[in-house]
Amino acid sequence: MATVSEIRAAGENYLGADAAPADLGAFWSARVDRALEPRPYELAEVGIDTPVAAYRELSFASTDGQTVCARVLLPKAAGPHPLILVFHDMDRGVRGWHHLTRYLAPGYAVCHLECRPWAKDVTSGWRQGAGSLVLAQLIDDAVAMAGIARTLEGVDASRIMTWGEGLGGLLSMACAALVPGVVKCATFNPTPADFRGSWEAGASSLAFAGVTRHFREEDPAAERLNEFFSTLGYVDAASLATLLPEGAELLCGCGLMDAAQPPLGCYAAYNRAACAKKELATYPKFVHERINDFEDRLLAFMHFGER
Amino acid sequence: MRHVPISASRLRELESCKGVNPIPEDFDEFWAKRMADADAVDLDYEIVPSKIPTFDTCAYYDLWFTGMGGARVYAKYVVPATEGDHPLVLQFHGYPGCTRSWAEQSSFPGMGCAILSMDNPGQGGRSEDVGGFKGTTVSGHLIAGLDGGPENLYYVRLYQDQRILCRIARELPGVDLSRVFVNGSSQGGGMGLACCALNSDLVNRASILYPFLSDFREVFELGRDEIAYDGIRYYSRWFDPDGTRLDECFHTLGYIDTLSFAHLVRCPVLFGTGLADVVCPPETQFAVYNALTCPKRHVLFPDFGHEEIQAYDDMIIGFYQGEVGF
Repeated sequence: MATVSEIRAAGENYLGADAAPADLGAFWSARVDRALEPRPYELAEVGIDTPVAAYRELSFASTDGQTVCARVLLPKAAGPHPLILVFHDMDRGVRGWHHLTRYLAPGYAVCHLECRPWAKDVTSGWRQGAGSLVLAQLIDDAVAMAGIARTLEGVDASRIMTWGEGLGGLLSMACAALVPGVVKCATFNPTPADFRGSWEAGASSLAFAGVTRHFREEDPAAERLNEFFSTLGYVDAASLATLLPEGAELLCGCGLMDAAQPPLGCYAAYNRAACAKKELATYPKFVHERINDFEDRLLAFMHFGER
Repeated sequence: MRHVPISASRLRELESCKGVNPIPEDFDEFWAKRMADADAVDLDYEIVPSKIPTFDTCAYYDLWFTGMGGARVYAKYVVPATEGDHPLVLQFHGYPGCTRSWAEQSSFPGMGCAILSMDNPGQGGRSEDVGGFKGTTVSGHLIAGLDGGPENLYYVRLYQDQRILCRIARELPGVDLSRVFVNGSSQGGGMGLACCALNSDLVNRASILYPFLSDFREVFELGRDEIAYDGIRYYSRWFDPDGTRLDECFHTLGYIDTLSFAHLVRCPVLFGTGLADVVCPPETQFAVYNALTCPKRHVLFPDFGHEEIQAYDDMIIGFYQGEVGF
């Protein structure tokens, strides 16, 4: 078992087991154009408005026609307000309104995707090609939501931040890579990252449970291994990191004891991030969990002036 | 986590819980003296910028004050930029630990309320613990000082520090003193009710989730003196193995038992309980709730234990605005 120092040393220059697909940019460019097309939506009152903010439930038909919902919190003060797009992890449901209210304090409008019901198998759809992957659809949902959120009244579409943990970290990086106007991206233990490397390191729970199932049920002799991982590369955080705009800022956190997503995957996503300004915070004695220190960094990161 | 199914008969049993820990006969008088002692301490505090940058909409400060025994006590202080006066939330944390992140403190400022969130001395935060408690200090703050008489208990000193914090709260600029709210879960819930009881002319509403420090004797009797309550078991095993001093010990602990404070709470209380709570037994929570004579509402979450309950947190938004019927 690698020591903390060994993990950190190995992570420093680690770029992942597989390179990003050569046509990654073209693949996503076509999908994003479709996801960002103007689409009808509804904004329903929730009934908990405060004197300073409106609380709304956003619903819209995503790229496949399925209705997807999101939680929206809009400051009542005159805009324009920066916008934060928040994504939740795969082992938890949508975040509470009270929790989301924290992002209003630093002056942001908030939009939080409620992931559509899915079987939590990240390999789902791979046989039909990358375009059919369930994670590609979840990314479409996130991008479509971003496309609506940036047009909401009072929102400054040039100051968008994305943030999420685990699977939410993947969606955060995907949106930052694909949606124009995202200038800050925060991610904690983005999952899945470095599919092949993480699988080889023994990851088999949460996001990787589907990979284990695949190799036990669908391909026990691993005869289609390369094809399989090549397909998953289109929705790998370490791949999407290569599409981050140079002008964006990245804050990345990693709990080094995370067994669900091996930390080297997180390092790969961070090291491959194409943006010029980036910051990595690693936590030797934390797993895939809430960390006060990282939350403080996140809050400071939200500031648009000097920090 | 062990999930406990709830039945109608179990619920009736809980609803009839009255609590068993004795409430000392001189409880009110005892605390009047302790509060007078805290009021005699000269107010000495400073508010300085924290490590979080200032936003146009919100400012983040470190607040340091001199508490009992000269201790330097710390609180996070977050102030939203509002037109006119703003409400203030007094936030207390769980056991053991400290105030959670600045981001977590931001939810109430996101509602237009300032927040004061205190670190309890010696529990993992920045507040100084000047110690000096008589008797064991090996495990469990709730028994710290138990051998030195009730006035020497850790939580007595803590509630005196809390009193000093309340005095500071009255002086903070821009605070609407008719809208001072309390929020706390677990230890923070017990502290929150004590704060309401001892500062009833200041606190207007209290949100209390699964309070710790409640009905100590019942915790002992049920064998639930573990996890956060393990100090009771340590004390029993090491210092009173045959139980000779049980009555004396629980009488002393009665001075800091949330059950004892309940009759002094005046403000409306929103009270939440996860019925599968294995840290703070539901029996003890119901005993406290039943002893409250103020306007109150108990919300139950059958499939939740001692954990974040977002549905409860969401109710606070309306509750602090005067909604949620009683």
